[in-house]
Amino acid sequence: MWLRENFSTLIKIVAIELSILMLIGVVFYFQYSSAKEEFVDKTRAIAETIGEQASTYFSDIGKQPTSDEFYLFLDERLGRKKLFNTFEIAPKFFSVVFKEDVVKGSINGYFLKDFYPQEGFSVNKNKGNISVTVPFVARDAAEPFGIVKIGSDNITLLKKVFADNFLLYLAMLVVFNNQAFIVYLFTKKKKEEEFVDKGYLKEHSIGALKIMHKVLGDIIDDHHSTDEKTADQAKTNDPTKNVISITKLMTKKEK
Amino acid sequence: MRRYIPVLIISVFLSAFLIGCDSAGDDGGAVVLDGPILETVARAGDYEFNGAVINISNEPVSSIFVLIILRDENGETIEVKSVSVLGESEELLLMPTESAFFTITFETDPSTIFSKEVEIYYDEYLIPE
Repeated sequence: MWLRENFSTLIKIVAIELSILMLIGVVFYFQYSSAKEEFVDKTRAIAETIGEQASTYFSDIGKQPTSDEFYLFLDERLGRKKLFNTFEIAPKFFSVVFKEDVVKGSINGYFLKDFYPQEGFSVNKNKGNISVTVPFVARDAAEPFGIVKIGSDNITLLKKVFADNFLLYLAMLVVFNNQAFIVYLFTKKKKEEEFVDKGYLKEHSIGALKIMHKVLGDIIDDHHSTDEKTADQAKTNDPTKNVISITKLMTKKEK
Repeated sequence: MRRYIPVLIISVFLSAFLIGCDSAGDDGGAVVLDGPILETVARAGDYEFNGAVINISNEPVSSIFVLIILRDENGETIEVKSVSVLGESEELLLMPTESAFFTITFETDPSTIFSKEVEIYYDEYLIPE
């Protein structure tokens, strides 16, 4: 019953809340875009650093050691935490792949093959994943020796942006709701005043019109009666005409 | 006053939703990855993952297992493998702030893999009285 009575109000509230959420969504979208650009810049920087280390390591030792030894080398040179402390979102995986493996066809498809990117790095966005690849060269070599790839999924980025700006979104939600509420109160007050004014006018105008109608009616009646009396008197007072005034007789009888 | 109740209800629900979304991203746990995992094709064409875990709690932990899940483009699981970081013995412990390396090797063709997930399992070590 209450819902039926206030359905339109409820619809308005929902519409206002959706508008507020859309506005917050726009802010969130711009922040997310900015975070993505930042992620690409930082990822490129760290991928270049790993590439330099890989270049040193594989130039000196060749491709004989297994990847766990290279991992320990990176750990020793850069430190695991230090290596990725520039990231706000530390990626869970990073990849190092050799060009000869790609050429041989042992790593098709999954690893990117862009060994000659125009800007020195390439960004690949595919099905909710974003990855940055940077090629690295062996010492004194003209051709790229391998490629470093660091990726992240968009959901992790979204979560990070949301978590960082959660208080801002909450504050926006509260402030906009307050603003909407204040506007609602103002409009409500205005409407009430208008209603009161109209009611007052209506009530008093009708009363005034009734009084005027009565006064005018009385005036008209008076005029009518005065006109009739003067006409009768004129007829009776005329000696040339042989007219008996019935009105005069009636008034005489009444007396 | 009754008119304002829906506004309050909606505001409370939205706030709860936002707080819920925020807390959903927390990883938690005493054992976490100590830096990212290196993924590479090693000697003999092995598809290999090398990483490290660290105990960030104030208590020792035992029986640490790292599990890596490989998925294809459709999200279907291709292969799952786990490794015991400290070895099979339950007596081996990872003390607070200590880290340990692990390596997991897969036979799967890397070209079919689209996404990877890592999960860490461990037991909290109960100090005998």
